[in-house]
Amino acid sequence: MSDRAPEVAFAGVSLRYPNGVQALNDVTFSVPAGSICALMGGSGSGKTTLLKLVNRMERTSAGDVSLDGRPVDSSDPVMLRRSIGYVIQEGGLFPHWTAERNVGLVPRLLGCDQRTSDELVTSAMDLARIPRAEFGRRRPDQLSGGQRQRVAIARAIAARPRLLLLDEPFGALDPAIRAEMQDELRALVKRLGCTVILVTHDIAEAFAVADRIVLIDHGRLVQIGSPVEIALAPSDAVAAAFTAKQALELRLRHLRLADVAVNLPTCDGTSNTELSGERAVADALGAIARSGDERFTVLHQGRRLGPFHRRAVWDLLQRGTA
Amino acid sequence: MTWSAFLVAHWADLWWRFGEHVALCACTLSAACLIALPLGVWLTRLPRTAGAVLGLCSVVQTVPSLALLGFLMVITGRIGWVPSVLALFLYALLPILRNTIVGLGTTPPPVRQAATALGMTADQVLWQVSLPLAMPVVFAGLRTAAVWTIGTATLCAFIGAGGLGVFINRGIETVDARMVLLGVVPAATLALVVDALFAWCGRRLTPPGGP
Ligand SMILES: Nc1ncnc2c1ncn2[C@@H]1O[C@H](COP(=O)(O)OP(=O)(O)OP(=O)(O)O)[C@@H](O)[C@H]1O
Ligand SMILES: [Mg+2]
Repeated sequence: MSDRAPEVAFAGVSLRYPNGVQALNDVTFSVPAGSICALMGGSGSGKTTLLKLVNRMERTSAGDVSLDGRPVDSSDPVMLRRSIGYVIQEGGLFPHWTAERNVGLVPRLLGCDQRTSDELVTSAMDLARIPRAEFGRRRPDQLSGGQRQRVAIARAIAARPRLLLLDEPFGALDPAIRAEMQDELRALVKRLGCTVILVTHDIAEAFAVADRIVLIDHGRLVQIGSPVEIALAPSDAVAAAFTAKQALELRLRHLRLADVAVNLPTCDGTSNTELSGERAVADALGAIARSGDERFTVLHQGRRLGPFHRRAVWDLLQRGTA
Repeated sequence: MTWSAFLVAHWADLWWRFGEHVALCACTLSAACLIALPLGVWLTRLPRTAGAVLGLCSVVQTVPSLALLGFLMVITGRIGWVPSVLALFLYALLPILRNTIVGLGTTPPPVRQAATALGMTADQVLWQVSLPLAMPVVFAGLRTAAVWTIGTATLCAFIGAGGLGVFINRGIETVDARMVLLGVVPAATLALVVDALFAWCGRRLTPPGGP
């Protein structure tokens, strides 16, 4: 593959499985080069199918998937797959190979010499925080579920692909490790310079990792937007339902005061409480409460916004979450 | 005659018949492996044909061994090795073929999917993933075929193929239990030894970790 992260574009993509299941229906969106896109949707909504279209594990019934404008159908499937990192939903490590042999798969398939592939394996395992010295010689049945997932991630990134398809890569992890892995993943792909499509059922994960979130439901695209847009402006009831349960918490944790302030009605009066727009909403609300002031202003990119009333923030945050 | 005197009297004959028996089984089993293993591998790409071939082999399996020997003697117009090897070969095919096909089919779907998704060709998946993971099942088939062939080869003495069955026939004709045992004990021992040998090879060739 090229040494640049590709843009992935889905144009009017539909897929009907031979058994008649319409898994995808006229899906159009694109993932900008170098960005992380979280794919969300209920079970059976077509997320895995969408990933499989990118590396030609499945073929569209209509529409096109293209990388940097080049339809994937025009590439040789085997070479295409070797250039794309893929963590399948169930992990899929080879049970009869050691961790390092699993990780070295794609470099070997690409014909790297022993030394190069050795270096790639070591660095991939370091990046995925599963150090080769300790875990390299273990077989998958000698690893914990979380360690296996790290090996699967290391295997996906070993040959330095510029496109990563991750199908619930953290499914088996406990919440603490999960949060840690999310941060690591984001740092990792930004360092490697990859385009990433990440399937997740966990809205908090999508918020923590993704630049953009794509919601699909029964094979149709429901909404695409930044985490802030998804949280604050669900396009319809289906989209709202995705975030409903954890909406308030997500908004408090992940929105910055500035994101909220631009949507707030100003109020009368004045305020001496001035807050930076960069602060997280939860944190800012705490500061306002402590100040004893009902009103506040926001300093954002050198401009002063407001004054706003404290209650307006809550009203906005709770809109659509009931 | 004491046991030891009996053994000494038949010692040379015993080794000769034992050699015949081993040769008969070795020919049959190698032919069955040479045909059934590649055929099984190849048939995994043609699931429907695989079903038909397995069905055919099962039918052969249901024919009583003596009947099959007699039948093959008639249609080949010969006695001795030719119909014997042919009959034993037909019997040995099924377990090897079936276990090869079944074993190759047991690759866990996520493993197969990951292999393909990361860019292995169909041949690479077969040789590097499916076949190593199928080894325990394939070897179970080989062991069944081996034990079965060694046992049934004793019947081939009826149509003049020699082997340890000769003692059994002679013992039955002369109502001599010792003579029967002279054929049975070495045959059973051979079966156990070969079975253990295959089991050992299977363990050596089976990658650790398992499917
Ligand atoms: N190979 C297949 N043949 C037929 N139907 C399939 C196949 N794979 C998936 N489907 C169907 O297509 C639909 C979408 O499946 P897909 O695996 O893409 O869902 P998903 O969004 O990944 O779900 P989950 O979150 O449970 O993994 C489902 O209804 C599923 O039953
Ligand atoms: Mg899925």
